[in-house]
Amino acid sequence: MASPKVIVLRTCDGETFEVDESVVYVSETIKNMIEDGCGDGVIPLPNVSSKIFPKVIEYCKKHVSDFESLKKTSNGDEKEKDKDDDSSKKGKEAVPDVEEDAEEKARVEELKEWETTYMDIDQQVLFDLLQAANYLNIKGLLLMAAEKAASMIRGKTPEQIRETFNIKNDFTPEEYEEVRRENAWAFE
Amino acid sequence: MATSASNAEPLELLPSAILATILEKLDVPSICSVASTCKTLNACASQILSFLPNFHLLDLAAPIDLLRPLLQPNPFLRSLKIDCSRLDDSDIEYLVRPSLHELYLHNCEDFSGRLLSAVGGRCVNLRSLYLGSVAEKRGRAIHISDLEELLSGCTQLESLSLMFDVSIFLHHNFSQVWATASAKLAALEIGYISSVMVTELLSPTLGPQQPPSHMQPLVFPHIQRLSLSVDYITDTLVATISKGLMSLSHLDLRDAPIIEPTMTFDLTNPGLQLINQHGKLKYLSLIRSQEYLQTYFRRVNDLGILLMADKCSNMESISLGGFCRVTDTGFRAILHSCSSLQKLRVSHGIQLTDLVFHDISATSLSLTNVSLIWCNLLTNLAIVRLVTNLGLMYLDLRDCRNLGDEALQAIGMLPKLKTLLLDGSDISDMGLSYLRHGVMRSLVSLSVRGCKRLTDRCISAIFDYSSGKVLQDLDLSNLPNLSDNGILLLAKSRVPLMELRMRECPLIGDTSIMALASMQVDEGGWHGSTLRLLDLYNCGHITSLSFRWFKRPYFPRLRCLGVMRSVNRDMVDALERSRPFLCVACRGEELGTGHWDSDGLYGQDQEEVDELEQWLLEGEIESDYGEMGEGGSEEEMED
Repeated sequence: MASPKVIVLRTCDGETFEVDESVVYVSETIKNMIEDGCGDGVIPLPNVSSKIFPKVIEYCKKHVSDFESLKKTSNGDEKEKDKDDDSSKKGKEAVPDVEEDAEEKARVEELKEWETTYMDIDQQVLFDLLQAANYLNIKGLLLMAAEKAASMIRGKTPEQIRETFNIKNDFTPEEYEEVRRENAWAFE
Repeated sequence: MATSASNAEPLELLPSAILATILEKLDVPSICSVASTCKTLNACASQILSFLPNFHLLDLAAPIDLLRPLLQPNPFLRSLKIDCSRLDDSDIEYLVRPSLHELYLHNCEDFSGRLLSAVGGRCVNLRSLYLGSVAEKRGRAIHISDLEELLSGCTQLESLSLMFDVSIFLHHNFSQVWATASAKLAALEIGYISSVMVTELLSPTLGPQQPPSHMQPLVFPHIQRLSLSVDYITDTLVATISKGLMSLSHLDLRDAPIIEPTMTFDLTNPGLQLINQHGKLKYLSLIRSQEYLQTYFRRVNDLGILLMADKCSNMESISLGGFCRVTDTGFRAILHSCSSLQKLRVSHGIQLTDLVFHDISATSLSLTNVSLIWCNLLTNLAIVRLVTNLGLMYLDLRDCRNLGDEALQAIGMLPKLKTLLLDGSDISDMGLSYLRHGVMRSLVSLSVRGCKRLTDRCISAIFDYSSGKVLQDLDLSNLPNLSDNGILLLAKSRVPLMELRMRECPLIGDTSIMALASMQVDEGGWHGSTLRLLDLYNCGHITSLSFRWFKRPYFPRLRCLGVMRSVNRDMVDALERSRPFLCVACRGEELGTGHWDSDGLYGQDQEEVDELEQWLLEGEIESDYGEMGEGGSEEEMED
């Protein structure tokens, strides 16, 4: 088996990182750059700092192995679908193998736990992560971080949201009165 | 988790694409809250509303003035779910959109049948439709032509719920109208229909003027899930459904007889045998509700269940309500025949005893949901056996009067339990302490309604500084010894409850309200409880002083409040005016949708039924020795 190719990346503050090709492929942006022929030299990442990059790589490493195991189970599912003649068009009625199902459940549980620990970060890191995931086009990470941010907003009044995120209320008193009238039903 | 807000870059400076990704995940009220924080986020929120895929607002009866600015033209809107209590025909244009795949409209009493024809006319891409209570208000017209336009217009429809009385469409071409429904229809739910209408609908019949070779097209050829509320569940109904629907995997039938069913209009042993003729049934629910009359499936006994269980070995969920003549033999047959069973629900299992679960650990069952309601012969031993199913997540043991602390000790070992209902059982404070260290870590809903031995100590038994933080729903109704001290303890425990019911608690008074109102839930120090529903109906010591505490800024998230109107009519009226989106219930009705009661259980007076049960059991034993046929039914009718 060929040894995995190592890609060199440089963050905006000049630090370089060496990462396996399969790991950085999780980022659509980097993947496109490599496919365009930049993979042999150092890939510059002007919008990503060396502080947040390791955190991003941690996600990529975790999800490379998941991506591969997903490929395995999806092949397994296809076999199941062929066997089960009675399955409905949507495939909802297909009866999965009991063992595979239990394995799948355990995997999902473990991933959830990992996510909880991974997302135990403070606000600045969260915002950095959002921006990095957006620039590097890592959909799963962006959605996960967005969900975390959303969970910090859900169910709160405007005052509480402002306090959490240090937002300045820049409405004039008249403007605010109108905004409040329109939206008061949601938080009062 | 550290929220070092002061050091962080402000949220509103994030690129709008990222803000949009975050806001897209929020519910509509949260989006409106964000819109009120600053100008940037206000603009972002407005933008979101023009491409939000899901718009769900079900816990609030919003008037059109509120909805109009939110329901902007949005070609990406896929799912719309609204409580339409304050809307009518003039608002149809806002609700009925061609881009929709999913449309759920609850409480459409004030609409006419035009709603149906409008949906059929415009929502051509609809996959899933739910219409609740259409045209139920007096004077609202609805015709079969509306139904026809709906069915023929929504050609992609896969799931249809018409939660109102469909028997109003009684018409000679009722079957023909249904035949125009989308061929993809896989799930059908009807709020009320007579079983005769269903039978006629599903039996391909020959028209009187047509040649004998002409058959009417089959209605619902591919239905997999059928859920009907009928007048009487009969053998004919079950037979017609089982024979006609070849892909049926989910069957949910419930009836609520208003007079005692006669032999030809009832479910009997032979009828029950006809279930699952095509072998695909996974989910079966047969429930006779006690809503209007104390009545049961008297003509089904163990034999019927045994023969049914034989044919239903692939079943994953079985729900039987009102099968009072079935004994342990029948119920055990189900447990031993259906090896894939995950959900079991038995209500009014009057003859069900511990023996049913005697050797449950010998089966390979992994039950997740078990409901044993009104099964008064059950004792703690049954529960001890039952909890060998460690995957249990939902356990409903309401009105099993002989269950006590030993059962709780067993339940305390379940690692995944989310819902536990123990209404009317013989548990004590100590029993509940068995839950504290294990179950309370996962429990989301807990009900101890009517467990009369409980005192204030039960609160400290359940909650301590570390446990119970995921609990959302708590029912402490009908507890004669629960006082304000108990509620003070509850407030101190800082559990972020969403629903709290304390109906008919004679000792609860104004102090409890004050404690709940000023409950400090977050470590962030924000006061104000998280409660969305609070039911204080007929609490002994609530006076008009409490009403101060229902005004803003207290109980900011409260949507439903139950009180006694007689406490102070003026204050109730004033409260309703100052908080127009707070639903105040004053006549003692149960609050909240989706509450567990589906059998008309809460309407019963417990003392009364005791004697009735006795009478039933005695009556059963006598007629058991008689015939199940004509002779038997005559005997019963004489009663």
